[in-house]
Amino acid sequence: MSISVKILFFAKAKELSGLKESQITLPETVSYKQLLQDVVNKYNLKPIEKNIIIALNQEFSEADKIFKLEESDIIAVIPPLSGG
Amino acid sequence: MDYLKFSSDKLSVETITDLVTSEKCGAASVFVGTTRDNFEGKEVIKLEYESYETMGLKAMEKICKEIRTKFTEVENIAIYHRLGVVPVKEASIIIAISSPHRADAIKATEFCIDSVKSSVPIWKKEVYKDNGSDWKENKELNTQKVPIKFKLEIKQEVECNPIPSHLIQIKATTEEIEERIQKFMDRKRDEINMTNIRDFCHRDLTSQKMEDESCARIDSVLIKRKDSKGHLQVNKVYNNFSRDQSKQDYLMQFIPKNGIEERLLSAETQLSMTKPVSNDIYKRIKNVEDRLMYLESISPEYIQFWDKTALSKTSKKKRVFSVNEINNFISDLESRKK
Repeated sequence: MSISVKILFFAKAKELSGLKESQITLPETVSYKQLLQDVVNKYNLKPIEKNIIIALNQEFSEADKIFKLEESDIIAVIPPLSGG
Repeated sequence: MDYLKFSSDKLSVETITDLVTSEKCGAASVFVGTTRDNFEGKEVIKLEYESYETMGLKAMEKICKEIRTKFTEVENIAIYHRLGVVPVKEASIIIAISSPHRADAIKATEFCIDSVKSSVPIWKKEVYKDNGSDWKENKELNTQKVPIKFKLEIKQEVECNPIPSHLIQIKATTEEIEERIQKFMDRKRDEINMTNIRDFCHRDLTSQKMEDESCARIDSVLIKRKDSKGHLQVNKVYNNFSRDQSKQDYLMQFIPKNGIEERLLSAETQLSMTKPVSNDIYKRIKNVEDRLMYLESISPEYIQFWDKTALSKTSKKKRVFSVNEINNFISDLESRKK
C-alpha cells in the first residue's frame, strides 16, 4: 500500500531539488535505506546523499529504522547542521 | 521558564538577559555567537540562516530539559536564534541562563551552546566576496568519539599459593548439573534402545528372501545369557573395594571398645601396624608417631602433601581491589588523559 506524505527540504537539499516542500508517494512500510534512496533519486540529491539524515515528524531517525507511514506524517531532509 | 525563539530581527543582549534574571538568581551567564567576516582566507559579504522551525523549537526544548537535569540549580533559560540575513559582527545566537550561584549558570551555558550546535536543525550559508557561497557544517556533529584505550601501569596481578590440581573440586551450578544428568539419562536411554533394536529387530530388510513371510513385527531370537535363567541380560557388579552391603549385619560385626581405643586402632590399621600393641597408651601413640615419621622418610614423593615451599607461586589477575587502589587507578587515568 502506498501513502503520499509531505516532504520538506532545507539548505543544500533545497538548492539541489529546487523545492521547499513537496509530496512523495512511498510504500506504507519502508526501511530508512529505501526511503533515502527513493528521495535521493526523485529529487536529484545525489551529491549530498551520504551527508543527509531523514527526520520523521520532527524527530531524527536512525539508519536501521523501519518506518510505518501515515498520511499525516511529515518527512524532512536534513543536511549537516551549522547553527549557533 | 524557558524562552526559545527564532527571530529575523536584530537580537538584543539586554532584552534577552532581562528575560532570565530574577530576584532569586545571583548569576546570569550569557553567550553571544557572532558572525565572522572571514573563513579560510575568503572574505564573507553576508551570512544567511535557515531553520526547520518546528523541529528546531522541539530540539531546543529537549536541550532545556537536559540542562535542568544536569544542572539542577538553573532557574531560567533563554535561547534566541536569528534567521535570514545577518550582517557581519552581529549576533546570530544569544543564550542566557540564570541560577542562584554562578557555577551552574556558567557550565549550563557551555553545555547549551555545544548542544545547540550539534542537534538543532539550523543552517548557515556564507556568501563570499568572489561570488561563491557555501553551506557550512558544524564540526560538533562528528562526535562519535572512540574511547581511547589505556593500559594501566599499576600491576594487577597478585601472587597466590599454588593449589595442586588434584585437590581442586569442580563447582557447577544447579542448572548445569541437571543438564548433565539429563544428558546422561538420554544417552543411556539411546543405548538401551539400540540394543533392543539390535536384539529384537534384526530382521534383514534388504535381503530378498521372504520365504517365511509372517506378520510378526519383531524378529527376536532367544539367546540364553550368562548367569541368567532366561534371555534377559544380567549385569552384576562385584564390589571389591568397600563393605559388602548385601550382608545386613555389618553393624554387629565390629563394635569398638571406646573412643580413643577406636581411633588408635584405625590409625594403626591405616599405617599397617599389625604387630601386637603395648598396653601403655602413650607408648602406643609414640609408636604411631614413629611409624609416620618412618613412612615419611622412606617416601619423599608424599612430602608435597604437607610441605608446599618447594612449589613456585603462581600469579593470578587480581579481581578485588581496595579503595586506595581504585583511587590510584582513577588519578592515573586522569593524568594520562591530560
